[in-house]
Amino acid sequence: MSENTSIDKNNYKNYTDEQLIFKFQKEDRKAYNEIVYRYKDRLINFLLRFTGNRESAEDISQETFFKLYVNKDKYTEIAKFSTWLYTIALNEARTNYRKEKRHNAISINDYYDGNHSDYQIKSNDLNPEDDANSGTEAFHIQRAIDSLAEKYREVIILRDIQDLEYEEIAKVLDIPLGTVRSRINRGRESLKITLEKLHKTKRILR
Amino acid sequence: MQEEEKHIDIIEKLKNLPRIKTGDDFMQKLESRIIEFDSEKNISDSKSRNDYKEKEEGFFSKLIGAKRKQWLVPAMGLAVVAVFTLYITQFNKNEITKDNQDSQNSNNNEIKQSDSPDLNRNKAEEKPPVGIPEPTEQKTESDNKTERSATNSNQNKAGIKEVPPTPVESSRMNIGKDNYKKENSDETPNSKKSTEESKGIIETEKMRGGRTSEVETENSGTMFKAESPAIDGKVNSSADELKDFERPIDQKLLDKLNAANKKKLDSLKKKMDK
Repeated sequence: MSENTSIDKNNYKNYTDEQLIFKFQKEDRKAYNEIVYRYKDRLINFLLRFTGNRESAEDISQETFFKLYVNKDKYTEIAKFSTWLYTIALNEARTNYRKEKRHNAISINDYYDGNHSDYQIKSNDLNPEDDANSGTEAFHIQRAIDSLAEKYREVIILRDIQDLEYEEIAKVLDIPLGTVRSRINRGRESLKITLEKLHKTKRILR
Repeated sequence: MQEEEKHIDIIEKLKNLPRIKTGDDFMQKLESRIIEFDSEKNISDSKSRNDYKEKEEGFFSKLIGAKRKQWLVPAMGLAVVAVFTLYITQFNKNEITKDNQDSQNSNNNEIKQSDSPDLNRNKAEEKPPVGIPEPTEQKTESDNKTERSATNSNQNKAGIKEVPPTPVESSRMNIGKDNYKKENSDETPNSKKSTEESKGIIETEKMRGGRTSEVETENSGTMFKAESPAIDGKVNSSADELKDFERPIDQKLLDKLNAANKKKLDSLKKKMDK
Protein backbone atom coordinates (compact mmCIF):
# COMPACT_ATOMS: atom_id res chain seq x y z
CA MET A 1 0.00 0.00 0.00
CA SER A 2 2.78 2.34 0.93
CA GLU A 3 4.45 1.68 -2.45
CA ASN A 4 1.19 2.45 -4.27
CA THR A 5 0.71 5.74 -2.45
CA SER A 6 4.29 6.76 -3.20
CA ILE A 7 3.72 5.95 -6.88
CA ASP A 8 0.48 7.94 -6.84
CA LYS A 9 2.27 10.89 -5.23
CA ASN A 10 4.90 10.93 -7.94
CA ASN A 11 2.51 10.21 -10.80
CA TYR A 12 1.64 13.77 -11.82
CA LYS A 13 -0.49 12.60 -14.74
CA ASN A 14 -3.30 11.78 -12.32
CA TYR A 15 -3.47 15.32 -10.99
CA THR A 16 -5.77 17.95 -12.41
CA ASP A 17 -4.37 21.18 -13.81
CA GLU A 18 -5.44 23.09 -10.71
CA GLN A 19 -3.81 20.58 -8.38
CA LEU A 20 -0.61 20.84 -10.39
CA ILE A 21 -0.48 24.61 -10.28
CA PHE A 22 -1.10 24.59 -6.52
CA LYS A 23 1.72 22.10 -6.15
CA PHE A 24 3.92 24.33 -8.25
CA GLN A 25 3.00 27.29 -6.06
CA LYS A 26 4.57 25.27 -3.24
CA GLU A 27 7.83 25.17 -5.24
CA ASP A 28 7.22 21.72 -6.82
CA ARG A 29 9.11 21.93 -10.09
CA LYS A 30 7.86 18.54 -11.29
CA ALA A 31 4.31 19.87 -11.25
CA TYR A 32 5.45 22.73 -13.47
CA ASN A 33 7.10 20.33 -15.89
CA GLU A 34 3.88 18.31 -16.05
CA ILE A 35 1.89 21.45 -16.88
CA VAL A 36 4.32 22.35 -19.66
CA TYR A 37 4.17 18.80 -20.99
CA ARG A 38 0.37 18.88 -21.07
CA TYR A 39 -0.07 22.28 -22.70
CA LYS A 40 2.95 22.88 -24.93
CA ASP A 41 1.43 21.26 -28.10
CA ARG A 42 -2.01 22.73 -27.54
CA LEU A 43 -0.59 26.19 -27.09
CA ILE A 44 1.74 26.01 -30.06
CA ASN A 45 -1.11 24.98 -32.35
CA PHE A 46 -3.31 27.77 -31.10
CA LEU A 47 -0.48 30.27 -31.53
CA LEU A 48 0.47 28.94 -34.95
CA ARG A 49 -3.08 29.50 -36.19
CA PHE A 50 -3.18 32.90 -34.62
CA THR A 51 0.16 34.17 -35.91
CA GLY A 52 0.49 32.02 -39.04
CA ASN A 53 4.19 31.59 -38.24
CA ARG A 54 5.74 28.58 -36.52
CA GLU A 55 8.80 30.38 -35.17
CA SER A 56 6.87 33.16 -33.56
CA ALA A 57 4.36 30.59 -32.27
CA GLU A 58 7.16 28.73 -30.55
CA ASP A 59 8.64 31.93 -29.14
CA ILE A 60 5.30 33.05 -27.80
CA SER A 61 4.61 29.68 -26.19
CA GLN A 62 8.05 29.84 -24.53
CA GLU A 63 7.22 33.29 -23.24
CA THR A 64 3.85 32.05 -21.99
CA PHE A 65 5.37 29.20 -19.98
CA PHE A 66 8.06 31.50 -18.65
CA LYS A 67 5.39 33.96 -17.48
CA LEU A 68 3.57 31.08 -15.86
CA TYR A 69 6.78 30.25 -13.98
CA VAL A 70 7.36 33.84 -12.86
CA ASN A 71 3.74 34.68 -12.00
CA LYS A 72 2.66 31.33 -10.59
CA ASP A 73 1.45 32.93 -7.35
CA LYS A 74 -1.00 35.17 -9.22
CA TYR A 75 -3.23 32.25 -10.11
CA THR A 76 -6.31 31.83 -7.91
CA GLU A 77 -9.02 29.18 -8.10
CA ILE A 78 -11.58 31.65 -9.49
CA ALA A 79 -10.98 30.51 -13.08
CA LYS A 80 -9.94 27.25 -14.69
CA PHE A 81 -6.21 26.90 -15.09
CA SER A 82 -6.53 26.36 -18.88
CA THR A 83 -8.49 29.62 -19.19
CA TRP A 84 -5.80 31.46 -17.28
CA LEU A 85 -3.03 29.98 -19.40
CA TYR A 86 -4.87 30.75 -22.68
CA THR A 87 -5.37 34.32 -21.50
CA ILE A 88 -1.65 34.70 -20.96
CA ALA A 89 -0.87 33.16 -24.34
CA LEU A 90 -3.46 35.27 -26.15
CA ASN A 91 -2.16 38.50 -24.61
CA GLU A 92 1.37 37.58 -25.64
CA ALA A 93 0.18 36.68 -29.15
CA ARG A 94 -1.68 39.97 -29.49
CA THR A 95 1.34 42.06 -28.51
CA ASN A 96 3.60 40.04 -30.80
CA TYR A 97 1.12 40.24 -33.69
CA ARG A 98 0.93 44.05 -33.33
CA LYS A 99 4.71 44.33 -33.22
CA GLU A 100 5.07 42.24 -36.38
CA LYS A 101 2.34 44.20 -38.07
CA ARG A 102 4.22 47.41 -37.38
CA HIS A 103 7.48 45.83 -38.53
CA ASN A 104 6.03 44.52 -41.83
CA ALA A 105 4.22 47.72 -42.66
CA ILE A 106 6.28 50.51 -44.31
CA SER A 107 5.10 54.01 -43.54
CA ILE A 108 5.81 56.88 -45.90
CA ASN A 109 5.01 60.39 -44.82
CA ASP A 110 3.78 62.53 -47.67
CA TYR A 111 4.95 66.06 -46.95
CA TYR A 112 4.70 67.37 -50.50
CA ASP A 113 0.97 67.98 -50.46
CA GLY A 114 0.94 69.04 -46.88
CA ASN A 115 -1.05 65.91 -46.00
CA HIS A 116 0.59 63.98 -43.13
CA SER A 117 -1.22 60.78 -43.97
CA ASP A 118 0.64 57.47 -43.72
CA TYR A 119 0.62 54.96 -46.51
CA GLN A 120 0.65 51.42 -45.17
CA ILE A 121 1.91 48.79 -47.52
CA LYS A 122 1.70 45.22 -46.26
CA SER A 123 4.67 43.11 -47.17
CA ASN A 124 3.50 39.99 -48.94
CA ASP A 125 6.72 38.06 -48.69
CA LEU A 126 6.06 34.33 -48.30
CA ASN A 127 8.14 32.05 -46.10
CA PRO A 128 9.85 29.12 -47.91
CA GLU A 129 7.62 26.78 -45.89
CA ASP A 130 4.52 28.67 -47.02
CA ASP A 131 5.76 28.58 -50.57
CA ALA A 132 6.07 24.79 -50.46
CA ASN A 133 2.62 24.29 -48.93
CA SER A 134 0.96 26.94 -51.07
CA GLY A 135 -0.98 24.34 -53.03
CA THR A 136 -2.47 22.53 -50.01
CA GLU A 137 -5.91 23.02 -48.39
CA ALA A 138 -4.38 23.80 -45.01
CA PHE A 139 -2.41 26.64 -46.54
CA HIS A 140 -5.57 28.21 -47.97
CA ILE A 141 -7.43 27.84 -44.73
CA GLN A 142 -4.56 29.46 -42.87
CA ARG A 143 -4.53 32.35 -45.36
CA ALA A 144 -8.28 32.68 -44.83
CA ILE A 145 -7.80 32.75 -41.06
CA ASP A 146 -5.05 35.36 -41.41
CA SER A 147 -7.32 37.55 -43.44
CA LEU A 148 -9.94 37.60 -40.68
CA ALA A 149 -10.19 40.50 -38.30
CA GLU A 150 -8.44 39.90 -34.99
CA LYS A 151 -11.60 39.70 -32.93
CA TYR A 152 -13.10 37.00 -35.23
CA ARG A 153 -9.86 35.11 -35.62
CA GLU A 154 -9.47 34.73 -31.84
CA VAL A 155 -12.90 33.20 -31.29
CA ILE A 156 -12.74 30.92 -34.34
CA ILE A 157 -9.38 29.44 -33.28
CA LEU A 158 -10.44 29.01 -29.66
CA ARG A 159 -13.75 27.40 -30.55
CA ASP A 160 -13.17 25.39 -33.72
CA ILE A 161 -9.48 24.48 -33.39
CA GLN A 162 -8.90 24.41 -29.62
CA ASP A 163 -12.41 23.14 -28.75
CA LEU A 164 -12.96 25.53 -25.89
CA GLU A 165 -16.45 26.03 -24.48
CA TYR A 166 -18.31 29.28 -25.16
CA GLU A 167 -18.16 30.20 -21.48
CA GLU A 168 -14.45 29.57 -21.37
CA ILE A 169 -13.88 31.72 -24.46
CA ALA A 170 -15.94 34.48 -22.85
CA LYS A 171 -13.66 34.30 -19.80
CA VAL A 172 -10.43 34.23 -21.82
CA LEU A 173 -11.44 37.21 -23.92
CA ASP A 174 -13.28 38.89 -21.05
CA ILE A 175 -16.36 39.52 -23.18
CA PRO A 176 -20.03 38.52 -22.76
CA LEU A 177 -21.22 35.11 -23.93
CA GLY A 178 -23.55 36.60 -26.53
CA THR A 179 -20.69 38.55 -28.05
CA VAL A 180 -18.72 35.30 -28.29
CA ARG A 181 -21.57 33.58 -30.13
CA SER A 182 -22.12 36.42 -32.55
CA ARG A 183 -18.40 36.78 -33.22
CA ILE A 184 -18.07 33.06 -33.91
CA ASN A 185 -20.95 33.17 -36.41
CA ARG A 186 -19.63 36.22 -38.18
CA GLY A 187 -16.15 34.79 -38.21
CA ARG A 188 -17.29 31.53 -39.76
CA GLU A 189 -19.31 33.32 -42.43
CA SER A 190 -16.45 35.60 -43.39
CA LEU A 191 -14.11 32.59 -43.38
CA LYS A 192 -16.45 30.74 -45.72
CA ILE A 193 -16.57 33.71 -48.06
CA THR A 194 -12.79 34.14 -48.14
CA LEU A 195 -12.27 30.40 -48.68
CA GLU A 196 -14.71 30.42 -51.62
CA LYS A 197 -12.86 33.38 -53.07
CA LEU A 198 -9.57 31.59 -52.66
CA HIS A 199 -10.96 28.46 -54.34
CA LYS A 200 -12.26 30.54 -57.22
CA THR A 201 -8.89 32.19 -57.77
CA LYS A 202 -7.25 28.76 -57.53
CA ARG A 203 -9.53 27.41 -60.27
CA ILE A 204 -8.86 30.45 -62.42
CA LEU A 205 -5.13 30.03 -61.94
CA ARG A 206 -5.41 26.33 -62.91
CA MET B 1 -26.39 24.25 -32.54
CA GLN B 2 -28.29 25.28 -35.67
CA GLU B 3 -25.61 27.79 -36.43
CA GLU B 4 -22.95 25.11 -36.08
CA GLU B 5 -24.89 22.86 -38.48
CA LYS B 6 -24.92 25.68 -40.98
CA HIS B 7 -21.12 26.01 -40.98
CA ILE B 8 -20.35 22.33 -40.39
CA ASP B 9 -18.13 22.08 -43.48
CA ILE B 10 -15.89 24.93 -42.33
CA ILE B 11 -15.78 23.58 -38.78
CA GLU B 12 -14.65 20.19 -40.08
CA LYS B 13 -12.00 21.81 -42.23
CA LEU B 14 -10.70 23.77 -39.26
CA LYS B 15 -10.67 20.69 -37.01
CA ASN B 16 -8.88 18.68 -39.62
CA LEU B 17 -6.06 21.16 -39.91
CA PRO B 18 -2.69 19.47 -39.37
CA ARG B 19 -1.44 19.58 -35.79
CA ILE B 20 2.14 20.44 -35.12
CA LYS B 21 4.37 19.52 -32.20
CA THR B 22 6.92 21.61 -30.37
CA GLY B 23 10.59 21.19 -31.20
CA ASP B 24 12.87 18.82 -29.31
CA ASP B 25 14.77 21.67 -27.76
CA PHE B 26 11.62 23.39 -26.54
CA MET B 27 11.94 22.10 -22.95
CA GLN B 28 15.70 22.69 -22.88
CA LYS B 29 15.29 26.28 -24.02
CA LEU B 30 12.65 26.88 -21.41
CA GLU B 31 14.76 25.25 -18.71
CA SER B 32 17.84 27.34 -19.53
CA ARG B 33 15.74 30.50 -19.51
CA ILE B 34 14.31 29.61 -16.12
CA ILE B 35 17.76 28.85 -14.66
CA GLU B 36 19.05 32.19 -15.95
CA PHE B 37 16.09 33.96 -14.39
CA ASP B 38 16.59 32.17 -11.07
CA SER B 39 20.28 33.09 -10.89
CA GLU B 40 19.50 36.73 -11.72
CA LYS B 41 16.75 36.73 -9.15
CA ASN B 42 19.09 35.35 -6.48
CA ILE B 43 21.70 37.99 -7.27
CA SER B 44 19.15 40.79 -7.21
CA ASP B 45 17.66 39.45 -3.98
CA SER B 46 21.06 39.35 -2.30
CA LYS B 47 21.80 42.85 -3.58
CA SER B 48 18.48 44.18 -2.36
CA ARG B 49 19.04 42.54 1.02
CA ASN B 50 22.45 44.17 1.29
CA ASP B 51 21.02 47.52 0.23
CA TYR B 52 18.25 47.18 2.78
CA LYS B 53 20.75 46.33 5.50
CA GLU B 54 22.89 49.31 4.56
CA LYS B 55 19.82 51.53 4.60
CA GLU B 56 18.76 50.13 7.95
CA GLU B 57 22.17 50.90 9.43
CA GLY B 58 21.69 54.49 10.41
CA PHE B 59 23.97 56.95 12.14
CA PHE B 60 23.68 55.43 15.59
CA SER B 61 24.22 51.89 14.32
CA LYS B 62 27.44 53.15 12.69
CA LEU B 63 28.37 54.77 15.97
CA ILE B 64 27.35 51.98 18.32
CA GLY B 65 26.41 48.91 16.25
CA ALA B 66 28.46 45.89 15.30
CA LYS B 67 29.84 47.54 12.17
CA ARG B 68 30.70 50.72 13.97
CA LYS B 69 33.38 53.00 12.62
CA GLN B 70 35.92 53.46 15.37
CA TRP B 71 37.06 56.90 14.32
CA LEU B 72 33.52 58.23 14.67
CA VAL B 73 33.41 57.99 18.47
CA PRO B 74 36.38 60.27 19.34
CA ALA B 75 35.48 62.58 16.47
CA MET B 76 31.96 62.98 17.79
CA GLY B 77 33.26 63.46 21.34
CA LEU B 78 35.65 66.19 20.22
CA ALA B 79 32.95 67.89 18.21
CA VAL B 80 30.59 67.91 21.17
CA VAL B 81 33.27 69.30 23.53
CA ALA B 82 34.22 71.99 21.01
CA VAL B 83 30.62 73.06 20.59
CA PHE B 84 30.09 73.09 24.36
CA THR B 85 33.18 75.20 25.05
CA LEU B 86 32.30 77.60 22.27
CA TYR B 87 28.81 77.96 23.66
CA ILE B 88 30.09 78.62 27.18
CA THR B 89 32.82 81.08 26.15
CA GLN B 90 30.60 83.03 23.80
CA PHE B 91 27.71 83.36 26.22
CA ASN B 92 29.84 84.01 29.29
CA LYS B 93 31.90 86.63 27.47
CA ASN B 94 28.81 88.75 27.00
CA GLU B 95 27.73 88.35 30.60
CA ILE B 96 31.23 89.02 31.99
CA THR B 97 31.66 92.15 29.86
CA LYS B 98 28.27 93.38 31.04
CA ASP B 99 29.20 92.75 34.66
CA ASN B 100 32.59 94.40 34.20
CA GLN B 101 30.99 97.43 32.61
CA ASP B 102 28.51 97.75 35.45
CA SER B 103 31.17 97.35 38.11
CA GLN B 104 33.47 99.81 36.36
CA ASN B 105 30.69 102.35 36.11
CA SER B 106 29.83 101.96 39.75
CA ASN B 107 33.51 102.13 40.76
CA ASN B 108 33.99 105.27 38.73
CA ASN B 109 30.99 106.84 40.42
CA GLU B 110 32.28 105.84 43.81
CA ILE B 111 35.74 107.19 43.07
CA LYS B 112 34.17 110.44 42.02
CA GLN B 113 32.16 110.50 45.22
CA SER B 114 35.22 109.67 47.31
CA ASP B 115 37.13 112.40 45.54
CA SER B 116 34.32 114.86 46.09
CA PRO B 117 35.31 115.76 49.72
CA ASP B 118 38.55 117.25 48.43
CA LEU B 119 36.64 119.22 45.89
CA ASN B 120 34.13 120.22 48.52
CA ARG B 121 36.96 121.13 50.77
CA ASN B 122 38.40 123.44 48.14
CA LYS B 123 34.98 124.91 47.61
CA ALA B 124 34.58 125.28 51.31
CA GLU B 125 37.87 127.11 51.50
CA GLU B 126 36.59 129.53 48.93
CA LYS B 127 33.15 129.95 50.51
CA PRO B 128 33.10 128.66 54.01
CA PRO B 129 29.44 128.10 54.99
CA VAL B 130 28.66 128.34 58.66
CA GLY B 131 25.89 126.27 60.33
CA ILE B 132 24.66 124.85 57.06
CA PRO B 133 25.04 121.11 56.51
CA GLU B 134 27.01 120.09 53.49
CA PRO B 135 24.69 119.10 50.69
CA THR B 136 27.38 117.22 48.75
CA GLU B 137 28.11 114.85 51.60
CA GLN B 138 24.45 113.92 51.95
CA LYS B 139 24.04 113.55 48.24
CA THR B 140 26.96 111.21 48.00
CA GLU B 141 25.57 109.05 50.77
CA SER B 142 22.17 108.74 49.12
CA ASP B 143 23.75 108.20 45.72
CA ASN B 144 26.00 105.56 47.17
CA LYS B 145 23.03 103.75 48.61
CA THR B 146 21.21 103.71 45.28
CA GLU B 147 24.33 102.65 43.41
CA ARG B 148 25.05 99.93 45.90
CA SER B 149 21.55 98.63 45.68
CA ALA B 150 21.89 98.67 41.89
CA THR B 151 25.20 96.87 41.99
CA ASN B 152 23.82 94.37 44.47
CA SER B 153 20.92 93.68 42.19
CA ASN B 154 23.40 93.24 39.33
CA GLN B 155 25.40 90.88 41.46
CA ASN B 156 22.30 88.90 42.23
CA LYS B 157 21.45 88.78 38.52
CA ALA B 158 24.92 87.57 37.71
CA GLY B 159 24.49 84.82 40.27
CA ILE B 160 27.18 86.10 42.60
CA LYS B 161 26.31 85.49 46.20
CA GLU B 162 27.17 87.91 48.89
CA VAL B 163 29.85 86.68 51.20
CA PRO B 164 28.59 86.90 54.77
CA PRO B 165 30.93 88.85 57.00
CA THR B 166 33.13 87.10 59.49
CA PRO B 167 32.33 87.68 63.17
CA VAL B 168 35.22 90.15 63.50
CA GLU B 169 34.09 92.03 60.45
CA SER B 170 30.48 92.10 61.56
CA SER B 171 31.49 93.45 64.95
CA ARG B 172 33.53 96.02 63.16
CA MET B 173 30.53 96.89 61.03
CA ASN B 174 28.27 97.26 64.01
CA ILE B 175 30.72 99.48 65.77
CA GLY B 176 31.13 101.48 62.60
CA LYS B 177 27.39 101.83 62.16
CA ASP B 178 26.99 103.04 65.73
CA ASN B 179 29.81 105.52 65.37
CA TYR B 180 28.39 106.69 62.08
CA LYS B 181 25.00 107.27 63.64
CA LYS B 182 26.54 109.13 66.51
CA GLU B 183 28.68 111.25 64.26
CA ASN B 184 25.76 112.02 61.98
CA SER B 185 23.71 113.11 64.94
CA ASP B 186 26.50 115.08 66.64
CA GLU B 187 28.86 116.28 63.98
CA THR B 188 28.33 119.31 61.91
CA PRO B 189 29.72 119.50 58.37
CA ASN B 190 32.43 121.77 59.60
CA SER B 191 33.56 119.34 62.24
CA LYS B 192 33.60 116.59 59.56
CA LYS B 193 35.77 118.70 57.38
CA SER B 194 38.14 119.35 60.18
CA THR B 195 38.55 115.67 60.90
CA GLU B 196 39.16 114.93 57.22
CA GLU B 197 41.73 117.60 56.95
CA SER B 198 43.49 116.43 60.11
CA LYS B 199 43.77 112.90 58.80
CA GLY B 200 44.79 113.97 55.32
CA ILE B 201 43.96 110.64 53.98
CA ILE B 202 40.63 109.61 52.62
CA GLU B 203 40.28 106.04 52.00
CA THR B 204 37.27 104.19 50.70
CA GLU B 205 36.99 100.68 49.76
CA LYS B 206 33.98 98.89 48.52
CA MET B 207 33.35 95.27 48.32
CA ARG B 208 31.43 94.24 45.25
CA GLY B 209 30.92 90.54 44.69
CA GLY B 210 34.11 89.61 46.46
CA ARG B 211 36.14 92.10 44.42
CA THR B 212 37.97 94.91 46.19
CA SER B 213 38.54 98.37 44.87
CA GLU B 214 41.26 100.48 46.24
CA VAL B 215 41.26 104.21 46.37
CA GLU B 216 44.44 105.80 47.45
CA THR B 217 45.14 109.30 48.38
CA GLU B 218 48.60 110.54 48.98
CA ASN B 219 48.02 113.62 51.07
CA SER B 220 50.08 112.29 53.92
CA GLY B 221 52.59 110.52 51.75
CA THR B 222 51.56 107.09 53.05
CA MET B 223 49.56 104.43 51.34
CA PHE B 224 46.57 103.19 53.20
CA LYS B 225 44.34 100.25 52.63
CA ALA B 226 41.13 99.27 54.33
CA GLU B 227 38.52 96.63 53.72
CA SER B 228 34.82 96.75 54.33
CA PRO B 229 32.23 94.25 53.12
CA ALA B 230 29.01 95.32 51.46
CA ILE B 231 25.90 94.38 53.45
CA ASP B 232 22.38 95.29 52.39
CA GLY B 233 23.68 98.08 50.27
CA LYS B 234 25.12 99.88 53.25
CA VAL B 235 28.86 100.28 53.27
CA ASN B 236 30.99 102.18 55.68
CA SER B 237 32.34 104.66 53.29
CA SER B 238 33.87 107.31 55.46
CA ALA B 239 37.48 106.77 56.36
CA ASP B 240 37.02 108.59 59.65
CA GLU B 241 34.73 105.97 61.01
CA LEU B 242 37.00 103.19 59.91
CA LYS B 243 40.05 104.72 61.39
CA ASP B 244 38.48 105.08 64.79
CA PHE B 245 37.77 101.44 65.30
CA GLU B 246 39.91 99.53 62.80
CA ARG B 247 43.36 100.05 64.10
CA PRO B 248 43.00 98.70 67.66
CA ILE B 249 41.16 95.58 66.34
CA ASP B 250 43.76 95.00 63.68
CA GLN B 251 46.53 95.30 66.19
CA LYS B 252 44.79 92.88 68.52
CA LEU B 253 44.26 90.47 65.70
CA LEU B 254 47.80 90.85 64.55
CA ASP B 255 49.03 90.22 68.06
CA LYS B 256 46.89 87.12 68.30
CA LEU B 257 48.04 85.90 64.93
CA ASN B 258 51.66 86.56 65.77
CA ALA B 259 51.32 84.68 69.03
CA ALA B 260 49.67 81.77 67.28
CA ASN B 261 52.33 81.74 64.58
CA LYS B 262 55.07 81.85 67.16
CA LYS B 263 53.53 78.92 68.96
CA LYS B 264 53.30 76.98 65.72
CA LEU B 265 56.83 77.84 64.78
CA ASP B 266 58.06 76.76 68.19
CA SER B 267 56.25 73.48 67.97
CA LEU B 268 57.64 72.92 64.49
CA LYS B 269 61.14 73.73 65.65
CA LYS B 270 60.73 71.31 68.50
CA LYS B 271 59.56 68.66 66.14
CA MET B 272 62.45 69.35 63.83
CA ASP B 273 64.89 69.12 66.70
CA LYS B 274 63.39 65.87 67.77
